[in-house]
Amino acid sequence: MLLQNPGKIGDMKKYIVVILSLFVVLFANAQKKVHIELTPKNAEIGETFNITITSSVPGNLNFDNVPDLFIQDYNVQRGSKKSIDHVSGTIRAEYYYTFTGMITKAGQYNFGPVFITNGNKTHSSNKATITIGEKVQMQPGEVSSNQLQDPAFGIIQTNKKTIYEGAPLLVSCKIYAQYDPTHVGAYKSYTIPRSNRKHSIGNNATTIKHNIERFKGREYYTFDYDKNIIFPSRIGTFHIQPFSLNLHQGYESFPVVSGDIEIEVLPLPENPPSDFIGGVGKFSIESNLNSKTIKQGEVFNLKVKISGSGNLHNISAPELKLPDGFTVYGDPIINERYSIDINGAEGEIEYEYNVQAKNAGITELPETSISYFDPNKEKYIQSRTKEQKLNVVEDINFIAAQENDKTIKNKDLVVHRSEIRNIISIVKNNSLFGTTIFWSSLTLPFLASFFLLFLTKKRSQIDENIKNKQQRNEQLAQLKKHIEKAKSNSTTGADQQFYPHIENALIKAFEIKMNRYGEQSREKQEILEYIDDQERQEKIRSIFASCDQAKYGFSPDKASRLETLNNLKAVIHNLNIIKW
Amino acid sequence: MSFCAFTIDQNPAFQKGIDAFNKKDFAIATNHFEEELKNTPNNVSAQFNLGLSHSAQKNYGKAIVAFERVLKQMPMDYEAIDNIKYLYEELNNGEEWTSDISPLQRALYAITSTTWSYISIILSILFTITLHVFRSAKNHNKKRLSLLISGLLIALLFFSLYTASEAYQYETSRDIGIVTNIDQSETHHKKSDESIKEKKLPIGTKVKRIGLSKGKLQKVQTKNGATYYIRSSEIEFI
Repeated sequence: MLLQNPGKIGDMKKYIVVILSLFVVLFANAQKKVHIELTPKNAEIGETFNITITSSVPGNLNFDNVPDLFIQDYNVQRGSKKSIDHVSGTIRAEYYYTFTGMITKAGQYNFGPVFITNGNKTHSSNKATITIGEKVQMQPGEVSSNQLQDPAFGIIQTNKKTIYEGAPLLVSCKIYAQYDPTHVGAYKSYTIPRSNRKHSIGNNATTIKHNIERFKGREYYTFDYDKNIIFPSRIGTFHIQPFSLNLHQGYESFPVVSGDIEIEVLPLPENPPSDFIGGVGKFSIESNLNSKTIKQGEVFNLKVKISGSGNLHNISAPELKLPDGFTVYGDPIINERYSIDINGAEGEIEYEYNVQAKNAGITELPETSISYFDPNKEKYIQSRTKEQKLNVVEDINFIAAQENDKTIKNKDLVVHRSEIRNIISIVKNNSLFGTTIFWSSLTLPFLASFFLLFLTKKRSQIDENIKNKQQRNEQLAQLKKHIEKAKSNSTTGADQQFYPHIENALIKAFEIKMNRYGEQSREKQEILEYIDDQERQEKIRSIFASCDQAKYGFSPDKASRLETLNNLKAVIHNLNIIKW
Repeated sequence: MSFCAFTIDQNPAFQKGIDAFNKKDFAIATNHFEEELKNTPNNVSAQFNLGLSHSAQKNYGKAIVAFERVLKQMPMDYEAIDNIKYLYEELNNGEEWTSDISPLQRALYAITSTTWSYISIILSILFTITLHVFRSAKNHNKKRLSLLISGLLIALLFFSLYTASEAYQYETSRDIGIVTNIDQSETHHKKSDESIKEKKLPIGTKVKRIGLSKGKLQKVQTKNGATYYIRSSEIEFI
């Protein structure tokens, strides 16, 4: 059957290879691991570094594969810790050994492999390398004459007095003693401005490895202590405050207080290049594609690695320059592999971009460039990757999907702030204001009011006139009555029946003439003043005089009565009120 | 200016515009709403929807004009204000929306000049009545009260007349314009005229028309008081 079906034999082979591969992988993973690691990976001559060996099996450690120049401390830590694998639920034990030591000559040194022997089985580790550099020349802070007189004194020393912002600054304490010190106690570290952070790089052991140095004509026991890397973040003066400690010789100690130190932090030159990533130090860039040939629409992996030393931990991701048809999805995945040592942050940072190729064809991916500031050369330096070719194989299904997607996207990406209005709202624009109707309506009440006022006034005037007319008629009737009485009594009647009628008739006549209705008594003087004519005045006076004479008993004769009556007739005639 | 709302049966262009908008065919929706506004210029909903359609097509300048026209007709339409503010944010060219009138004025003008006119007429009637009451009153207290009321009424009358006039001015003036596009074609004005210096203002800039246009250029004033000549084709008055 198998011979008849060669295709199935090929399939079986594939299955076997896969199963075997799985076994190999599982077996390899199941292997007991011994690992050696050095921290930091760069150190200077005489600087203490750590060697950490971890093992998943207990046993005897063979730690012989070390460089000849390695001086091991007595300080060895060992122990074990247990952890739970949350996937398999198994408990794993890990055994560790930590050694410290130093090397007194510059160069590259390999450690390991180390061996763990458990019964008959021996497990070996990897190799680890450390680079030992020349001792960094430190610039000491100032020493006062008082300090020189003390049995011990300390200073703060830095690798530079002037640095550029972002560049690493190496700071440590240096202690000078006239006696052989054994250990340090009550150490209070130097302080730096709050916005900065100290990255410890060793020399913090309480036990002392001292040298003998000549300083200002005297021999001292000296040693470095509390070495840190700092990345000053602000330009201007960077002030480091003093440290203090008790320097012991056995049970006796001497208190040491250092002076302070100031570092000048310079700004980077103006107008940095557009591809400046904020790096200060020395860096390089390289890129790598996970595949040289992909299908159209596939997402490929573009890794850009920046390595070097300086403020590597503070750099920003480089900007990819991709041709049309390439889309970067999301932020890059960042893999950081660096340590802080005497050169600052040293190592590499890898940016992993997921890029989709939408256009088919052989495309040359342009170089990616970065710029950084080199504090030694005091200028911006550019580093760039190499151009890479990528073959994007056409995929018809993707092209169709992309066209469909484009149509949908164009419509769907619109963001509306409001809902569309479905009900028609009409605003009538024909404002009433300013129209004739408006002004007419506004002024009409006022006009009506004035008209009403006018009408009322007119009516009251008419009423008054009627009233006056009625009164006048009444007075005229009274006047006529007085004249008639006076006429009838002019020849026969007594004086008391004649003259009062004459007087009343005269007064009434003037009341009518002067429109004084309802006012009975008129002053003679007023009547006389009303008349301009002298002759008529005389006549009126004569009438009044005759009336007065009769009133007081001086009876005038009948001729006089007639004269008075004639005078009255003349006066009334002149007044033109009634016909005599 | 008064307001009324009714259904869309009699306005097919409006309905077509809504249908196109819902299908996200914004260009077609814009045409339909413009057609509706030609037939019914006072259709505020069509004006508002036109603003949305322009906004969806990223014609921000024209969208601002449409929403400003909505505000002109309905000063208290805060949805239109919200949209205008959003459009200026989207333009992101340093311009921002500034109201030509204060919030109090906006509230007063929203009552419309017609309503203020009616109020003025009613106040004038009331005023004349109280004057007659004052004249005919024989009681001293009654006289004093009627005088006080007539004083108050005449003050209100002047206020409502003033507001009606201002509201009418706001409703009818066409002096405020928005820069809707930047015309890159060559200028046509005479180079000999030194006083004319053409300026390109950012889209969305609110300007006030000052003086008559000179050829294809319009003299305008920006909110900071600067005067420029800009092309009439670049500006739409609201």
